Amino acid sequence: MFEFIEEFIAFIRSLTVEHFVRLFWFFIFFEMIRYIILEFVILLTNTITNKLKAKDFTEAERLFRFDNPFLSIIVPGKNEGENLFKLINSLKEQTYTNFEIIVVDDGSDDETPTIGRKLEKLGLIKHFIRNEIRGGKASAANLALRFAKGKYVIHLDADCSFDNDAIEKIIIPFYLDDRIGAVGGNVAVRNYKESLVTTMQAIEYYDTISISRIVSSKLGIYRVISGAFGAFKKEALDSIKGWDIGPGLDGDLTVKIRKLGYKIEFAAEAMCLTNAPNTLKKLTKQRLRWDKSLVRFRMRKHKNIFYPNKSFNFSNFISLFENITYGFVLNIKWVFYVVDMWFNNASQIEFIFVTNVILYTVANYFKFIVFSLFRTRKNAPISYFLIYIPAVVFYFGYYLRSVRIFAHFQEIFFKTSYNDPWNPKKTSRFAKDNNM
Amino acid sequence: MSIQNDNLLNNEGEFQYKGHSFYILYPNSTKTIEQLTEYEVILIFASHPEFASFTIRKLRGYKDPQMYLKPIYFLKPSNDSNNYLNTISDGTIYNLSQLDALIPSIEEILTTNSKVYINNTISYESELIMKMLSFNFTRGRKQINPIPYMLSAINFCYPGLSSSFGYTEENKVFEILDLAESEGLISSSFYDKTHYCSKCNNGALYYRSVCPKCSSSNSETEDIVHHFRCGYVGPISDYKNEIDDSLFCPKCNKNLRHIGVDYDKPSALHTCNSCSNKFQDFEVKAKCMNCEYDNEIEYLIEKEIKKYTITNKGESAILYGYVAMQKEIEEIIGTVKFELFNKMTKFEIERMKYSKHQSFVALLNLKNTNELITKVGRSHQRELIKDIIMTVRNSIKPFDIISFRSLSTFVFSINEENEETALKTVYELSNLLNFLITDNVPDFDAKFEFDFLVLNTHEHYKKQLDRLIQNYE
Repeated sequence: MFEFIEEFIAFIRSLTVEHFVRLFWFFIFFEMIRYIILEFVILLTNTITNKLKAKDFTEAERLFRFDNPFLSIIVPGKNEGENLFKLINSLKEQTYTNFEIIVVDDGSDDETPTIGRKLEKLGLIKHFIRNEIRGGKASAANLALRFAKGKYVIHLDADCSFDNDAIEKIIIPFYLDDRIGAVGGNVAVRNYKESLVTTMQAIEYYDTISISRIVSSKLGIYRVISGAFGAFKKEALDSIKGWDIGPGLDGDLTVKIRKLGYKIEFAAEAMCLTNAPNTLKKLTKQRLRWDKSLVRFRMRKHKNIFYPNKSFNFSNFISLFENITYGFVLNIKWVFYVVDMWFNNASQIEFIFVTNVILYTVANYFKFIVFSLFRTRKNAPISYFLIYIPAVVFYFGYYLRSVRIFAHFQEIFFKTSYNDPWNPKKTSRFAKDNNM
Repeated sequence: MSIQNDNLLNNEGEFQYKGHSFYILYPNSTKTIEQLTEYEVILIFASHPEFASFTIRKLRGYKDPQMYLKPIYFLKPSNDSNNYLNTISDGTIYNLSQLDALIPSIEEILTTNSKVYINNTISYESELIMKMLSFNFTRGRKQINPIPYMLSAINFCYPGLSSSFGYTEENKVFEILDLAESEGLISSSFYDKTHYCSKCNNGALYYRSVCPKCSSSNSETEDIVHHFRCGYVGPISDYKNEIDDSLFCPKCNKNLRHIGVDYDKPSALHTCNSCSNKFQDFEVKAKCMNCEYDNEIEYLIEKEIKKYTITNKGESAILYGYVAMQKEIEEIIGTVKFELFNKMTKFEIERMKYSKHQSFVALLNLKNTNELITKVGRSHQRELIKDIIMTVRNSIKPFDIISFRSLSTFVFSINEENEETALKTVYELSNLLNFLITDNVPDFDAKFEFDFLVLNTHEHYKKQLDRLIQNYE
């Protein structure tokens, strides 16, 4: 062990700048520049501009209060009965109350219909609509949309709960700019203490949702409004006739709204808590589904964004380009990096691995601590997570990356997303035939 | 032999046959129920179902055992049946030539009737219990089964009991049955469950599928259509066009041709024509046909309907009298049993022979006792009786005595008094009681009758008392 440490120190000492760049190019050029330096600069800029634009926010809030818009909160789902009561309780606490709740039961086979009817009868929800035959989440959301009367539609997952000002916080951004067609809410993990898997996801959500979406929103390339908590202009949803067949329908919908020329915003202070998968098996299943959607929707269904035709939009182009680059190309590139190291620096591979782990861990500590300063809303103490940060490199760098590569491989060559039981076969068949 | 040409009949519809007196009760009959008690057998000319139904229930509901235990048959021109009415009658004949066949059953009923121990009771409930028990017993029925009956306010009728109640108070049969069961006179077992209006306890309900928002039943229904290809979901009207019957998706404009392949109908949606509310599940409400209250199903009063069996104690009560009745009379402080009252009257007459004073027996009868009992309820009935006794007691001398002849009739002595004062006492007392009842039971008009007997020394005390009470039995 001591011998290894001595050799490792010798390896570090022997590194020149040139040699360091050669061995850790992936971290330096792709990870550090994009996810640390760029994000830090944007966050800083965002904080400054937010302060400078404080009057705009105040004016938006005033307009919102003056308009007092009627909202439709739609909650599509299957077998969500046990979550409904908690969800409704959370919504009852909202500071903004001018809304209707529409729950669509997509062919549940548990007590959901009984619970839903009861809530409807008690007047706690406006409509409880049940489809006896399951049609998939898109069809359930579309049915809810058909009955929505609100100026804005908020899509929620039934297993979520909300800060008591979350509804107004997600709607106010619409009053900043008339071109905003959709606003994504902030999502954090409620069950972060349940297992190591949920703790890792809590850290991941802080990074990829709370922070990264501030950045992507600022850059105008925000592309996935989470189905857990998202608000949409009703007219925008009506124009595109709602959701298309999933899985991955949240990102698909966001791109469709972008294509209409609307801007997409992220409301960091509109906080929603959700339960994350608590086992590796469940998480893997979820992520395979999510990751396939990049290939299915960005690279296949919406590839026309790259076409230089008259509907070409630069920010949409950048949004998808960035998504494909970082979500797909660099993943492949990472494999090249591993191969590169393996073949060209085989004798030093263990030192390269340890150095990478140290670099990423230091970066992760830096990001987690420093970026936390930019998070206005936290649902857990930062100190709780510090001990788990060293594991993040393995979670992000190896586990998630491996799952992503596998998902992309499956989707590119076998179009397996169309076989996902998450969506009924009767609809997936059409989606596959029509490259949807 | 047709009914009309029957030479047995006289103009009044009465005749004798094989040693029994019969009376045919026509819709235009002028006889009172009291007059009908003179006949051994009544034949109800049931040409009109309403008349037959009304009459049999009236006769069986009458307070006098001489009437409610009487053999009563329907004389019908045609065969139509109603289970309940058939049960409370003793049978049906279609012309008088069938009378012969009735004679054995008439004689059997009359024989069994004679075995029934008839006594008076101060308790309205006891009276009804004995009526139910004796009626069923004399008809050879040990089981008292509820019979579904359309005209019943509680959907079921109990032979021998339900006829005693008017439509609006019919649910009181359950109190009587519970009381009889608690006294051990009958035992119960499950028969059915039914529901009653939460407002008026009536069982005549009709169920309506209504809009959950405004309770209107005026609505239209549309299928919800799910287009598989693009995931659009909406009412079928979204897919229809004005030209033909084809279905086109409003989202992707594709033609929907094949259910199960292109589309399905996962649910249906109703639109209320009154309030435009859209809903999937009708709310089912039960409207009461009596009070028109629109009941929510979950708030209906659920009632277990039981069937009953007369116990050995019940049979014993029928044959030898209901012990609790005597006990009840004794429990009313300030009164004596009627037998004792008889004896005391006898002694008073003997006393009058020596002291040459005048004594009287007064009788007070409340004509609408049943109505009063219904209004005050069982729990307050005893309190009211106590109050009445207290009032009477305060109006007469300490050595005068009071006795109940029946629930609606009581007698009291006014000894060593002149006639004018005695009459004044009775008159004032009836006013006082009237005031007492009106004060305690608002909206009730007490109908008191009083009678008065000047005791004489030359006539047997029993005869004198019988003359007084005969009109109030």
